[in-house]
Amino acid sequence: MRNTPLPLDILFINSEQTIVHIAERTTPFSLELLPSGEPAQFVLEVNAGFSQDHGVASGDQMELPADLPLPTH
Amino acid sequence: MRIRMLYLKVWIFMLLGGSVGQAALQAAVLEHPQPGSVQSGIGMLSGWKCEAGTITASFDDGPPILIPHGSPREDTREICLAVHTGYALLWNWNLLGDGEHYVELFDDGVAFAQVSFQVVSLHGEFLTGRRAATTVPNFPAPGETTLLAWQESSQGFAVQHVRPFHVTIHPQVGTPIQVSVELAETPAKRQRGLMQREELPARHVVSFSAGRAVVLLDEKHPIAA
Repeated sequence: MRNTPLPLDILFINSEQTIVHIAERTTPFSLELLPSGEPAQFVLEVNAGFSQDHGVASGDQMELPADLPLPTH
Repeated sequence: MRIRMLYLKVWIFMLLGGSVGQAALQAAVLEHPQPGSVQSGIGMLSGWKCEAGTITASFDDGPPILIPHGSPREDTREICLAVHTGYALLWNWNLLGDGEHYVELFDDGVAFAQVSFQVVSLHGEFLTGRRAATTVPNFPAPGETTLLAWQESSQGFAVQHVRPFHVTIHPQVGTPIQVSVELAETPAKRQRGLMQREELPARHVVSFSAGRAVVLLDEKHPIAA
């Protein structure tokens, strides 16, 4: 959470658009590593508490925009 | 505004003893590139001239290049009493190389416009085989996101769409949740085969202050467990 002034919920999403892991309520400015735990292709970062408030959990399906640009690297 | 300024020029010309007809015949504007602007990729050198013989352009005192004249420009009807006044040259700015350049325009050999500009090329004359896209948040209006994608044919980024950008989460219990997001992209970096949040560039932090962001990882080299 280096350079990040507010706590986040970080949703790791695999190429099948399934949430594989959620790092909840991260600590601002912390240098703690936050691994995805499983292969991940996308990350959705939302305000801390979002996952709990909305009942979002690992295994939930995401629907990303169909025209999401592909990474170039 | 351009037309208004031109009227002023015409008025000054009349005060100096010219006639409206003569002024209109001489009226000409180089609209693009603008002085001091930065050019890259393939674009247009363009403007309008009420009446013209053979229009040519010379880049950096180079050989003359013929510019077609006569495309319709309805907005010049009042000043030119004609509409087929436009001129344009499709031009690869990259050919000039990086740095400052100028172009001078001639009508039958008589100079009527000159402008200096900068060129930033992308590794040579024509970049091939690359893909890239990015978003411009809160443009053109707050809450709207403009998606720009690399367009090889024009050697530049082109607007793909303008709209609210969102993802939808389908919880196993409850109704779908739609989340407005900003889009960020980062090179896939690995540490023990796992994506580490700490490795994201600091610029993405800007997105967090808005509350939400999507970060794209590397599709060709997905993170391996």
